[in-house]
Amino acid sequence: MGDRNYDCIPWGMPAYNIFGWQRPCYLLQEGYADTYKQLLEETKWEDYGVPSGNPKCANCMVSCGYEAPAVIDGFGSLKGFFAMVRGTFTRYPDQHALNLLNEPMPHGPSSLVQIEHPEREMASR
Amino acid sequence: MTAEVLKYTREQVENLELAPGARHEELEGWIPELASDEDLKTALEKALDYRGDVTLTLKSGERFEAYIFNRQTGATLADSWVQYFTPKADDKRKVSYAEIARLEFSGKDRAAGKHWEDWVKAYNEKKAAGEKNIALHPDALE
Repeated sequence: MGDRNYDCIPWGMPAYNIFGWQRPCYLLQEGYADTYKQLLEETKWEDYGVPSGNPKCANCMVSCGYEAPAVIDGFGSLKGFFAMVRGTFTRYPDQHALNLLNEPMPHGPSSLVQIEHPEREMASR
Repeated sequence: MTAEVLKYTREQVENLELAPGARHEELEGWIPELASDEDLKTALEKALDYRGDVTLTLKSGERFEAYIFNRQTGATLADSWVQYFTPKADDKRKVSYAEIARLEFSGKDRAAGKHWEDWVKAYNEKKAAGEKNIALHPDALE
């Protein structure tokens, strides 16, 4: 919780599907390993994540790469754990984050689209 | 990741507002000329990215449809392979690059026209036309 800077941990969320163990990351097309052992041993992990310099990873902020470091940070030490608790149960003034939210975007990929009447509805219980 | 790919420095990444994206090629119906080993490697790399079936013809004469989902490239064609599913079998199959004689992008390209920008454009057109209940719809099964 709060304003943190993490680097992607590409091995944080291995994915398995009918094709096999997906090499990092699920947004890229890097192929599959037949076994988990092959995934771990044959993947060039240093080629992934923002610090690697891989152009495919540049500016990526997709959650799957950052959830693992957040969990490690939150549960890896007492300091990290108390910071997480503090962020969760207190009013945590984060001026930097607020500034980012209020900052006008220098560009916009496209306008926000609201689907007015989605045809599918939640099934009633 | 291949060695020849230019890597960004951390500073370059921090200053990069938008990273360049992939350009979608219209490959449906394409039959690449496989005159050299490099032609074959390039074509199979595109087949890996292709969101549709391709048809492979092997040097043995065998011809089959395949959905290519994996590849490993080595120093030679014999060291390189693609992995695929085919309607002829339930299991995953592999074939060496060295065995492939012809490649056809024969199946429908399921990614064509699926850009977010395409959808927003269609959405705005429908909205301007007064259409209601505009939503995302899956492709109909064929």
